[in-house]
Amino acid sequence: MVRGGAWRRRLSTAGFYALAGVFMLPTVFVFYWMLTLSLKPQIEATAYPPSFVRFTVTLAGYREVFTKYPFFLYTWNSLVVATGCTLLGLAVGLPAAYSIARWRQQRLAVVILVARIIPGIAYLIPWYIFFRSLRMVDTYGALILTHLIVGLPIIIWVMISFFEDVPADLEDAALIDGCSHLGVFWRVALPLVKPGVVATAILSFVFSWNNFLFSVILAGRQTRTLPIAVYNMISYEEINWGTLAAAATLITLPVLLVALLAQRHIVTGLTFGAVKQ
Amino acid sequence: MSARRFSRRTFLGSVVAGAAAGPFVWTPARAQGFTWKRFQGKELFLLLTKHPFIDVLEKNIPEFESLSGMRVKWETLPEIQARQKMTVEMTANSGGIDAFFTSLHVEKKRFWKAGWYHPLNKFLADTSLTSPDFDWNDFTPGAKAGVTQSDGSISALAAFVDANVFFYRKDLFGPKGLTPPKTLADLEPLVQKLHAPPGTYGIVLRGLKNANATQYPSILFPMGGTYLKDGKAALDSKEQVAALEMYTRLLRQYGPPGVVNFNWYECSASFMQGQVAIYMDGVNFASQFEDAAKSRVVGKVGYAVLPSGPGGHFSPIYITGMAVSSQSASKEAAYLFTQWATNKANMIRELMAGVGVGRTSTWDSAEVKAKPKMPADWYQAYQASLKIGRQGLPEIVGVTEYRDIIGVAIQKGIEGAPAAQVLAQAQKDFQDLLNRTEG
Amino acid sequence: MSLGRRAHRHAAWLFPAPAVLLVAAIIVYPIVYTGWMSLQEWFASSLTRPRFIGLANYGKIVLGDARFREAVARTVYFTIVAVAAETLLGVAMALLFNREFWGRGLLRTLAILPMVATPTAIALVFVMMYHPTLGVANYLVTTVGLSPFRWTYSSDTALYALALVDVWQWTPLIMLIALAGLASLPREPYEAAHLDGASARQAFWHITLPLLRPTLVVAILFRAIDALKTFDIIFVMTQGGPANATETINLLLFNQAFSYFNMGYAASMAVALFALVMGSSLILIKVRRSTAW
Repeated sequence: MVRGGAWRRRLSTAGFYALAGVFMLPTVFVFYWMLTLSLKPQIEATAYPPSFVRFTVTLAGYREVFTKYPFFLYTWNSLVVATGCTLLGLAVGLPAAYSIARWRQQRLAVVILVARIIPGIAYLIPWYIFFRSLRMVDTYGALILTHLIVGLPIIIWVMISFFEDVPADLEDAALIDGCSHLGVFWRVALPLVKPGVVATAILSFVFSWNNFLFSVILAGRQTRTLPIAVYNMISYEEINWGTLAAAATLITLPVLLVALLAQRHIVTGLTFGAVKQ
Repeated sequence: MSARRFSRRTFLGSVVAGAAAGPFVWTPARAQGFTWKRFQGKELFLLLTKHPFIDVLEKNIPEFESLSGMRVKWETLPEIQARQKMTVEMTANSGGIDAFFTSLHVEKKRFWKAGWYHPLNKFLADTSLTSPDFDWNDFTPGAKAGVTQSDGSISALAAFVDANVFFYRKDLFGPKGLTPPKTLADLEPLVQKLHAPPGTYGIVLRGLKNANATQYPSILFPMGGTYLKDGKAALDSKEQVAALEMYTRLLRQYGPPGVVNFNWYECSASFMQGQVAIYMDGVNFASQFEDAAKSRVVGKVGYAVLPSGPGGHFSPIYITGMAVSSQSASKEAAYLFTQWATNKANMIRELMAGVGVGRTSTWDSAEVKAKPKMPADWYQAYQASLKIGRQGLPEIVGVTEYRDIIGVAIQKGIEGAPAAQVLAQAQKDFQDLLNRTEG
Repeated sequence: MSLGRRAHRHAAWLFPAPAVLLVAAIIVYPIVYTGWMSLQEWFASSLTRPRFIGLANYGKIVLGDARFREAVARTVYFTIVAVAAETLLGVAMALLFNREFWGRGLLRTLAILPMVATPTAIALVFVMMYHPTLGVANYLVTTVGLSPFRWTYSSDTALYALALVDVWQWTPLIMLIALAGLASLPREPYEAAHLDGASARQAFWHITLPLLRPTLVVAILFRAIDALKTFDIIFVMTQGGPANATETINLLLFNQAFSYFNMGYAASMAVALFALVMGSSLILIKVRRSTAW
């Protein structure tokens, strides 16, 4: 760890952890608060002064989420759509990013970005007309394709930076050895940018997972994704904080699991994935 | 739900026929007795809104399926998303929705002018389509007026009827010998006496723009104010100024901190945590006040009619209904559902669950009386309010725009701007809106 | 290398072709539709056709609509405040955490959490936390001796309170991307700088930051695009209020389309918002290109 600089090495471990704690406290606290809300009876959720540790624990919120909504179906739908969107995004996005980085196709990069820049609300009516004429409303296909708008641009744009860092000499050498461009991309460039792939895959997955706008219009009862479940906790005349927080916690849970399972990759990718040897 | 197409000519024709109802005297193809099974085997799709009325209704839909032999699919979305979905489907002319739940106080004239409601007049008059025990005249005059357009066409069947009432803390009123105010003039001194921050704030009303527009008439109407005078905007009348002045002063001086951006959930949370003495809002909020799992004021809340004022005695009411889509390919079948959802039996179920309805007979039904869910003064306040009910919002196309216009004026007022000044701006914007959308 | 060059010519359009075609397939129709609609006056009626009115909608948003102009200024301000805070904090955190330490895995998982949490749910949790008399935020603030804030419940502070939610949610993104960037930095310049006797601070300004810039600009670009289009949290938390103090373009656009049913006018606002975001993006891309391309 030479690049870190000397001052950080002098920073004592205690100081480091104190600082890390200060930075991470807000993150942890909001989730802690969400979790406690999900376990509190309604009356204690809004109590003042608020109770941080001592409160009546109830699972009513969770029970309601599971009995009132097809939660597993929604979760499955979200998983299918987010995974599909990410895989498709990587399949078409990585070669595109490579090409843009290798052959300096800045214009293409901008074209891809346009998709992301168009305000989502403007998509709703034309997309509905479009996918209806293709008989694709209420299918995973339509959702995956539309979620590509939120996932693909970030895959491409972040990966451009990573591909740019791949030394051209390495690739040229491989080309001279008779390797095809596809071979160079697959065997030389891609292994070197693994950290970026993991990071962007997660981002793409997350953006798709949380997208709500398109699902309201293009999904039907069978393909509805999760975020709608949260909106459904706000009823006409009351907000049931426990149920709402329970739904929010449950929605975060799968992605948290993905993050935990992929943690080794993320960590390796983000820290040891030294691109330059 | 993709295959149903409906040519433009056909539906234009049917809307015109329904609206005019004059030369097109429609003869039922099968003029026979009413039967629920008439459209056996058909499939309906409903777009429903997340709402207490729908919560109760949904549970009984299977009953309708076995009664009618039809299959019913439905989707329940929060109001904003439901309206969004409705707009997209209707704009794309998809024909995917057969019947829908509609907030008439917001959508009535807009959807009517857009031709989205199928007029129900002929269906109601058709004895082969309307069950003998449906009884249209059982609906209160307010509920009937609320679903009827200016040309007499009936756009929906009334479902939930909301009324603004006066919630107060009996435990705070009692020891001081206070009673609910009879008039607006009594209100402010009363609030003042109860105001003891930070423990207790005198009053809470919605501050958030748009949301506040349904509560503002609780002061405006008794003050004598109206939205329109001779078809022109009337937001700068002296009654309006007095009403906005009072609404905002009450909140500024006696409301909890931050009330300027309070929507109903902040208001009811403050009230249920016992921080507020008086709260005026929709009658339906009450069911949670009496739920010990949610509220610290169970049994301590009194319910009363809103105070009267120099302009009279009113309760702003808001009506939602079930409507048949003009783009549906199975309008008659959809009407059967609409009719079933608002029939006596279902309305009694609603009322027993604490959802207010606009059918007179339900209020005296033995079932409701045997198992009252709410305190007696709640039923009294509600019924009395329906009697003095007046449509809470202007019946115009641009209701939401109006709500934003007056909403901003109220918020500016709460933050200290003079009422006359904010209303002058609102008057200009409102007249602009009327010029653009009415006429 | 003539063989290589020929193959290159093919590869250069074959590689990006699937992505471009796919994106084009789903955005061309919406672009055409929105562009066309922006020239019409139409209130989503089934009974009347859209009426062609030329550029009148654009004339109105540019010249006649003070509410729109204010929304533009507010949107830009919100974006600058939020993204600047996120960048500063995110880079600071990346520098701090770019080392070996116990609990690193936990930290990274924690950092991912705010991003994956559904914005609506988070916004509602913040609504409750911000409640002026019942919320935990004021409880914590007063516990440390400060006087309570009004958060989203006052015109003066609402926009900042919303920006704070955005910062809470997206600072970790900048941190993660910056960490990935740090991980891919070459070592040689640091070794050289070390030999030359450069201080850590000099190394940061002259080596780390310039090398990090391309990656960072991409992160900022995406954050800025999203911040300019922020919708969910504002819609849930303030609906643009108090008065219009937090009404951004996207919120106004949504209202025009789905509350006011002013389809043509909304379309012209969508085009204007697109132009604003596109313009800002091109500036950022230029910043990036000056280093990389």
